[in-house]
Amino acid sequence: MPNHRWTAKLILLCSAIFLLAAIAACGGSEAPAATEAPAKESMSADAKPETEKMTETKAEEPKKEAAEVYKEATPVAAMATAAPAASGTDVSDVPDWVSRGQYGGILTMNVNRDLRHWDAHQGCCNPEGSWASVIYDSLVEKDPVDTSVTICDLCLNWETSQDGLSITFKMHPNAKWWDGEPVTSGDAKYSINRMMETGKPRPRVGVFRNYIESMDTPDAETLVINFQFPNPAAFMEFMAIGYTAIMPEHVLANSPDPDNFFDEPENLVASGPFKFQSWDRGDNATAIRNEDYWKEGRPFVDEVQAFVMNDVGRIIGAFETEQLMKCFKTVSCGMSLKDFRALIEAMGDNGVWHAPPPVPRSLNINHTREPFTDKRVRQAVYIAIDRKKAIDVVALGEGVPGIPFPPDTFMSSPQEEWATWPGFRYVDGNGELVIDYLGRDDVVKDPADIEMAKQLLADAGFPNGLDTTLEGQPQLNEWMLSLQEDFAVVGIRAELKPIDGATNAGNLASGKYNLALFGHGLSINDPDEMLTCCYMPGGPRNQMLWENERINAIFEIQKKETDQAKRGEMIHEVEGILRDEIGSWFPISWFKAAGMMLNKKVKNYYPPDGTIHQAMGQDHIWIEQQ
Amino acid sequence: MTVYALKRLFLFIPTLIIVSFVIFGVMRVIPGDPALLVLVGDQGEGSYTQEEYDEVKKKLGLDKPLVHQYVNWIGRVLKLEFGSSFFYHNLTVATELKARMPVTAQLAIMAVVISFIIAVPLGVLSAVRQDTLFDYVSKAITISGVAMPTFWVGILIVFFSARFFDYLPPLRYADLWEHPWHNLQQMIFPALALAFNNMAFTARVTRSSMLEVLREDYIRTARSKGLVEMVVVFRHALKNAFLPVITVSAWQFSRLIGGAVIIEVIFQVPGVGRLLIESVLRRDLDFVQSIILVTAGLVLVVNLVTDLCYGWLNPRVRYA
Repeated sequence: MPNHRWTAKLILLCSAIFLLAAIAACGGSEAPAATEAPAKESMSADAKPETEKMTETKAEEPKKEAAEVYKEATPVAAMATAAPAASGTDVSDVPDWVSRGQYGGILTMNVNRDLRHWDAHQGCCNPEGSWASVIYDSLVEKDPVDTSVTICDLCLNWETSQDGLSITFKMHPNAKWWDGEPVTSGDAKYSINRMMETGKPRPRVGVFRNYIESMDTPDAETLVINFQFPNPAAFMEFMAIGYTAIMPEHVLANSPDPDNFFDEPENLVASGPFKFQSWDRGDNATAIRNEDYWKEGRPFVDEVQAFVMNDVGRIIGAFETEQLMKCFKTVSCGMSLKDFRALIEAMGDNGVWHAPPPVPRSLNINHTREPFTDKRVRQAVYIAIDRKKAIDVVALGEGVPGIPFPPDTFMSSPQEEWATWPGFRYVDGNGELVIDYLGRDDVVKDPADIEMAKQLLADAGFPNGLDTTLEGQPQLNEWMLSLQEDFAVVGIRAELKPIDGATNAGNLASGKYNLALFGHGLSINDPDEMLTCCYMPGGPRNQMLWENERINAIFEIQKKETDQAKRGEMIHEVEGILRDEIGSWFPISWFKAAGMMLNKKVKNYYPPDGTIHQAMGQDHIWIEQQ
Repeated sequence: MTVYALKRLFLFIPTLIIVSFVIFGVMRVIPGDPALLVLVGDQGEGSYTQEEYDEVKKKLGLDKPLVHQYVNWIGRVLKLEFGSSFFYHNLTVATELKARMPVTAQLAIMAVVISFIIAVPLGVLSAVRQDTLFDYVSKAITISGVAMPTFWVGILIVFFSARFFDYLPPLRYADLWEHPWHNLQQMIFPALALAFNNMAFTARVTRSSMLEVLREDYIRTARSKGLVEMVVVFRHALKNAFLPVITVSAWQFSRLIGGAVIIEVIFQVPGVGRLLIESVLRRDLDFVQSIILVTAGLVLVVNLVTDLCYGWLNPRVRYA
């Protein structure tokens, strides 16, 4: 009976499909316990905000338009101290906020990519940094509540020598590794030496090579760091970034492969507030509370979970349904500023957002490629940019034009000065120069600047303008469009090339670009970071090795200068050189919109006074319980 | 049939060689230096020295000539060692594929089964009730399904379920057999998003195939014999109209095995598609090359099985 045979075959085929499904599903990746975010009901209207802290104050305020909310951005960053504090805070006393904390809950975060190293010393970026402070402790950290102050983390106190050539740390007697062994000065010395190892990838912590001459450990509680010169101003600021993890010598030195041992997280032994629990590569990672954490009363949440998420709609939905509680930086959460605005709108009163201190949005000019080998062309590009428009349109009005060093700091010129620089000038309806032009609608870019840019191009042999390309990642499209418009006004016809991050990074490294935008932040806000990172050969923002001998010389002098005012004067000279020479990198604006979002139930979080890299710890955060 | 199958299997070899050439070449031609990305990350936040750069390049084997790199890779593939990650210590392609392939397979099977279950009755009824209100409504649904990109359907599902029902599938993937309810919660929405497009296409194919068959002489004969309409439709017409439907479903399955990339990203499904896109973005060369090669092999196998099934289901089909 052919009909029946056919039916039997069909049934067999369907059975095979289901069998395949079963087999396939059997072999699925291991799933950790299903730990969902708290139920939506807990986000009811009667959830009462605490009566303290700025975050709570914001949460209580009526819902505002995104642009309005942005204007509540936190103050501009405080800078590195001129020299390491002579002595450090003793953390043996339990901070008063610990008694107010609530225990339990899961802190869920999202990142745009998975971390590549659990070994904090090898970490380069926020996904690694966000875990570094969860798993490890450092010698010092920023006070999680008063974020401008550097306090001891693993140390008990510190003292700088009279001549400024050494600093002595006393290790905290209670500090211990997860395996119960005490944290000693030997561990700290081992870890700092590891940070300075040459020939090994040390993207964030290799900087200590510039400062440290040697280290001594007279006893298990004492670490003496001897500097190459007195009082390196940026040293303690760098020490307070999350990547400066102190690692256990007794574990790593005895491991078969100390370079990579901790990159298999099952091997991790640290002293931090959370212990590694699980990692599904490319998807999520979880750490659980270290019940035996040496800091009394901490941490508060049971688990920290980070999910790799790249779909903006899903991210916003996850925040709305309380699957996500924290996004610590716009770009690192896979969001553009526009996306972040949508998130702010969607969260309404249920979210609290912060804008950390300004970060640069910068332009790379390939000074090794024609026509940008000509300084006049670079100057024309520099002057042509309508910085105010970029801030108003792209950065929601919250920013400062891209002066060479972070604004409103000892490193930078005051507004009265920079508002008169070519490329930074704006005039009112009468053609009068306006100094305080930010936030005003009645000013336009000084026509004299536009003429100057055109003249520079003509002098360089481009009276009819020139054709070039401007590339950058899609999340920077708004910036690219703004620049393209500015360049067109003076005759620079820039073809936009949106490219992915890997291509962007590769092109910058290999010099296969003309003009390029590239997102990044700074480890700390200090001239040492700015100069070595952006304005001197070898820096990651100066891959085309633009160089100025005078700047190199000033760097060597200023890094040893303990008087902040004198240091500032030297940096002002650098500013002048940079404005005249136009290196291969310069900021377009310093903008505050690299925001972080928290569910309003997340308490005791304070935005960084320095950089995001100094504020990634989670041990002080609690989640408001019902 | 055995000879035919052997011939087809033999043809796999040149196909896979061509695929390996193309993917190896493409990954070398596109910009983006893996060594640099290891050091600075895709946001370029880290710094490095030339010495560190050279060291990483050497460690990854990228300092060697391209021919050497290709031979090295293909040699390992022949030994079924597909390589390891440039970015993660001790992470091999085989390990990741073993973990991720079943996830994608589950998603693909769920999508195909759901679409099949909906599409066939819809297509049959549309054909049987041609030019009725039901047919028009069905047409509107299926044309929408074909026209709406899968990712858009996914976004709509996320938006409506989050905004109006305060619900989204769990973020964290759970194994079907260990946490079936959790797993189904996570997989049902992406499966539905994928199934909608597949369903629409399959329903369209079913309808047109049925319409063609329903005009055949033997259907008229069956009706003239006085057979009830149900028997005519399901025993005589659907049976013969089914072959193209099965072919289409098998093709859809092999397409989904290749990775429902965007849907996996939207719904946080840790499948092959997501692995592939992550690997491309971080220029994890061994991963990209091997995933593509393995996927191409799987697609070839699925196509072969489909062709063999086709002949098995329809005895009129004979293989030369």
